[in-house]
Amino acid sequence: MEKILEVKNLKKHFEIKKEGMRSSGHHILKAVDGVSFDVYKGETLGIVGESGCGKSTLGKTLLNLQRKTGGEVIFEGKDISSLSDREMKAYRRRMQMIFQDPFSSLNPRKKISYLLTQPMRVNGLDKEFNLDERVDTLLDVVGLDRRYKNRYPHQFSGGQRQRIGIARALSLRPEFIVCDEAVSALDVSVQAQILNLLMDLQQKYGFTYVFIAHDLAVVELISDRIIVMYLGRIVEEASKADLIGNRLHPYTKALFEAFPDINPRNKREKKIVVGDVPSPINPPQGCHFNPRCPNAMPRCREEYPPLKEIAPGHKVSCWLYE
Amino acid sequence: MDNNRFLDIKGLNVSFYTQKGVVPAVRELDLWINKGETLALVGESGCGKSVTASAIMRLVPSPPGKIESGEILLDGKDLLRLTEKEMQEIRGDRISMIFQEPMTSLNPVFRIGEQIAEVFITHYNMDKKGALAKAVEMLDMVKIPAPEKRVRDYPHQLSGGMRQRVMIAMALSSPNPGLMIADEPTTALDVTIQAQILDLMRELQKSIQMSLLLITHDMGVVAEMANRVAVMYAGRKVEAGDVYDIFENPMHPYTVGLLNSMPSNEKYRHAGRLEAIEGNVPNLLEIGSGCPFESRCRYAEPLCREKFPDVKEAGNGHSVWCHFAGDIKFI
Repeated sequence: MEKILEVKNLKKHFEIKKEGMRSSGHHILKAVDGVSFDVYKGETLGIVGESGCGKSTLGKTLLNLQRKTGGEVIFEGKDISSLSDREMKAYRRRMQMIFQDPFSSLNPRKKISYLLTQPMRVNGLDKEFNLDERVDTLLDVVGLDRRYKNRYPHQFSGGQRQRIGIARALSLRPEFIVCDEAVSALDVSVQAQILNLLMDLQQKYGFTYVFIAHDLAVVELISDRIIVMYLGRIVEEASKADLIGNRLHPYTKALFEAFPDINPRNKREKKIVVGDVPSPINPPQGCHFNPRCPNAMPRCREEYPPLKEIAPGHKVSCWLYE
Repeated sequence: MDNNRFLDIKGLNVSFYTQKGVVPAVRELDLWINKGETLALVGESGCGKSVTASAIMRLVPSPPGKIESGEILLDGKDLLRLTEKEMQEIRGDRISMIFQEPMTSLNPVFRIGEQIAEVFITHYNMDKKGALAKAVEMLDMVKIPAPEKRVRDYPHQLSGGMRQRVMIAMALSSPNPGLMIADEPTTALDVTIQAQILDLMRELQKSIQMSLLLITHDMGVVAEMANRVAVMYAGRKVEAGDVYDIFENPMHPYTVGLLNSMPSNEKYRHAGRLEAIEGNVPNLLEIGSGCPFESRCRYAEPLCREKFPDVKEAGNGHSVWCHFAGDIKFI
C-alpha cells in the first residue's frame, strides 16, 4: 500500500500562563507529544480518545493549520510541517478539513453559492472551474437540492449544514481529508446519513480520511485502522478487526468496556476504570495511564513504555507486552 | 396497579407561542413511572423530551411557553393545580433534577460544600455547621475522593464528572427524594466517566428506591439503564414498553430507524452502510394532524398524513402509535 502521509515524532506543545495575578511562569501543555504513524492512500484512519488526549490538536497540526513544536509531517515525500504559509498554499487544495460545526465557519450574510465557490476564488482557481456548474455539481454530490444555492446558512438544519461543510471541503478536489468530530453534533438519524455520505464519497473519489472522533462506534464503523490516544500519545494502533477482537492496551480495553452496548441483556457488571482523565498539563510520571490502570506495575510509574509492534500492523505502548 | 405509579402524566399538551406561530412542543402525552423504576424518554432534538421535564418541574418558561392541558400526578397529587409556593416545596424535595452541563446549575462564586449545605439548611432547618458536615457525607456517598477537602472547592476546580457527582449529591440531599429527572446527564462526559456516573446512579437508585426519569438521545445509555422506554418524535409519544420489547421487537418505523441508525448496532459489526432514516426532523410549525413521522417514513400511506393513529397494544404494556403496527415486515 502506498503511503500518502508519514508522521514522525510530531509534537505540539502550548505555553499556558500560570494561574494567579503575580505569577509570571508558564506551564507547558504537551497536547501532542511525539506521535508517529503512517496514513495509506484511500484508507480511513480513525483516531479515538477522550477529552484532552490531543486528537483535535493532532488533526490541525497534520494540516499545518497549527504550527508544530517538533517532528515531521511528510506528504508525498515533502515535510509540509516546515513550509511557510505561502508554500503551503499549493498543498491546501489537496488537504482539507471537515469540522464539527460548519455553521461557525460559514458567513451568515452570504448565499450558499458564494460560500461554496469561496475556496476556489481564494486559491485563484475561478478561471479553471466553471463556478456555476461547480456549485450544482457539489450540491448534487452531497445530496442537496440545486435550488438551495440561493439560500443563506441559517435556513438549513444541522445535517444540511454539515453537507454544505462537506461540499466546501470537496470544492477543491482534495485527496486527503481530516474529519474532526464531523458527525458529533448531529442527531443519530442524521448522523447515519452523513456517515453514509462520507463512505460513499470515499468509494467514488478514493479519498483518504483521517477520522477523529470520541464516539467509538462511529470510528469503528468508518475506519480501516484505528489509533487510540491518551494524554498526547498513541497507546495502541491496530486494524479494525484487531481492535474489535484483540485489544491489548488496558486503556483501550477500559474505553471499549465503558462504551454503552445497545443490547439491554448485556447490563453486565462492568469493569469500570476508576478516576478522572488527568490534566495534560501535568500528566502522571511514567506511563500516563498508570494511576487508573488495573495492571500497573512499579515499572509503569517510572518509565514511559515505547510504542512497539507486537504483530504485523498492531502496535501497543505498554510494559505488559515487553 | 395504578397506585404503584409515582408519576402519572395524562394528556399533557405544551405549546410555545412564537412570532412565527404556535409550536406544539408536546401533544397528548401520557407517561408514568412506577416507584423505584427507571423510565428512559428517548428521541432526537425537538421531540419534546426536555420540555416534558420542564413541565413536570413546572419550569416551562412562560411566555412563550404554556402548559395547555393535562394532569401531572405526583403520588396522586396534580402538580398543575398547585400554587407556585406549594410547587417550590416539591422542587428539590420530592423531585430533583440534574442537567447535561452541571457548570450552569452550580453557582460559580460559592464553594460546593456551601451549595450542598443550603439544601440541608432550607429543607431540614439545620445550622450551618451541621449542614456542612452533611455535605461532606453526601460527597462521600457519590464517591468523591477526599470529600472533606473537596467541600472547600469552587465548581471550576472540579472536572466535569466530579461536578456531575456534586449535582447528584445535591439532588439526593432532599428529605424525600422520590423522583429524579436526569436530562442528558452524561452527554457532555467522556465515556469512561459516563460509565462511572451511570453506575453510581444505578447503585444509588437501588439503595433508596427512587424513581428515575432519564432523558437521553443515546440508545446505548437507554439499554444500560432503563426498565421501560418511551420514544418520542416531534412532540408525540410513538412507542413505549419494556426495555427488552423496545430493543428486541420494536414496532414503530421510527424506533426501528433509530436503532438501525446506531453505528454500534451489531449488524454493522463488519462495516457497510448504515440504514439511515432519510430526511430531516420536521418543523413543528408545519405538522398537521397526522403522524409526525409520515414525511420520513418509508411505509407511509395517505391515511398517515390525515390522522394520528390510535394506540395499538402488543401485550406486556408495549404500546405503539402507528396505523400499520404489526403489519409491517421490517427488513
